[in-house]
Amino acid sequence: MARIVRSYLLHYGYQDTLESFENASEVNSSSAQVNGFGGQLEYALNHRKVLRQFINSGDIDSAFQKLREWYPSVVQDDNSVVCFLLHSQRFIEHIRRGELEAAVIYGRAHLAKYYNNKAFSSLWTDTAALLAYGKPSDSSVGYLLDSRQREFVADAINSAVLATNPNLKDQEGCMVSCLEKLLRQLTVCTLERRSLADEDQGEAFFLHRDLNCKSRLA
Amino acid sequence: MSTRKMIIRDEWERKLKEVKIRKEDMNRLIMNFLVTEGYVDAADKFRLESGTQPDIDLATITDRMAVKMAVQSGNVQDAIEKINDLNPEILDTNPELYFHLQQQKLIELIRMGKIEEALEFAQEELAPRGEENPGFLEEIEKTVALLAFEDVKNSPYGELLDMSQRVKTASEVNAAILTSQSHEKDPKLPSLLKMLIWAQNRLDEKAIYPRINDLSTAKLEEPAV
Repeated sequence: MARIVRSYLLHYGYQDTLESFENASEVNSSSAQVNGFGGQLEYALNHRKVLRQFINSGDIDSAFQKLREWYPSVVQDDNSVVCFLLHSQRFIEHIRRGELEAAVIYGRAHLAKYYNNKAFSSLWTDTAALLAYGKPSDSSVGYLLDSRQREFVADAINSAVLATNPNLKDQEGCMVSCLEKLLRQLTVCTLERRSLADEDQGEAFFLHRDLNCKSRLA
Repeated sequence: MSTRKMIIRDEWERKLKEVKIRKEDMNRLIMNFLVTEGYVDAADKFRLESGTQPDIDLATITDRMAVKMAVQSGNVQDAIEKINDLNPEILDTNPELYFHLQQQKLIELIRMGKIEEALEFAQEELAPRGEENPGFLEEIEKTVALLAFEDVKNSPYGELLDMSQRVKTASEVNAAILTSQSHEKDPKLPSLLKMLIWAQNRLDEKAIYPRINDLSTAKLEEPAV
């Protein structure tokens, strides 16, 4: 149990939480090295924590700067997902601060070029749409102003940095956290069982519904 | 026996990719774990690092942990006073918990060799509990029997002196406090893991597919043909 929590904190780079957790619990950091993943996930822990802090506070410029300094390969290709996400987030931060002119200037300089990229199209359209509203937070694209969008970008950068590990043994293993894999497996197993059953086997598992259904989990 | 459906790895991985798991929900699970298990500082740090709100006031965790610590250190009277400070109704509505705390107090007196005090306590405090609730009698008898032996640790019920007994009582206290605060006493994460094991076992009846056998690595095992 503690190993799964530890692995989660390591994976996403929640360094301060991890240190506190390790100090308070009996979890021995070296014992976790026995299974290969522990070592891989410790890669660039402090840097990832710092990058997440910058992005969570909306300081995308610093995130860009540090990435160029520490992991230039991640931001080298301006057409990459990472660059697109960072640029769009920078744009969003301008909107959040009501800096509409700056947003337009930034958008023309850094966001426009992604217009043709099909992979980014829905996020691109939504981001650009922020300009259309006097009160963007009330609009259908208001979700972009939510802290969850910052977290989404932070997670993407986190994965990208993990992938630069020269000792990377398992590419797939670094992109998805252990906990997420377990939850996905749980969901698919219940769905599959349901589809194979002759009679009604009850509800399949869906984490979001499960968490919000209980009257007082969180 | 009906044949089981074979699902190869590629297909299984495709299904896995289609599942949507929200990061914020996973964060909530982690926060819930930290909070329920009493990792106050870690919960606070996690709040700062992830923006996840604790599902309980962190200050109450400190109080709860103080009670737990008191029991684990053998300071039962201190623990009882702290519980009453938190919420006097907890012990009122939990006779079994109150009894176990009294029992632990007796155990501690015996541990410290305070035989006279122990006897007095057993007669004045524990015996009435047994009268109120005959279900407690067996425990009372076991505990009191410790007094008959010089080498208490190696006596028939010597295990009552083990740390594990304190831990057991402390867990009971922890659960009662959480329940009184309308919080679920068990963190959600372990039960989800159990659910995974159960779900895989059930699916085994109908299909052959890549299983996860080691929860701590979540590695997919190739289905055995």
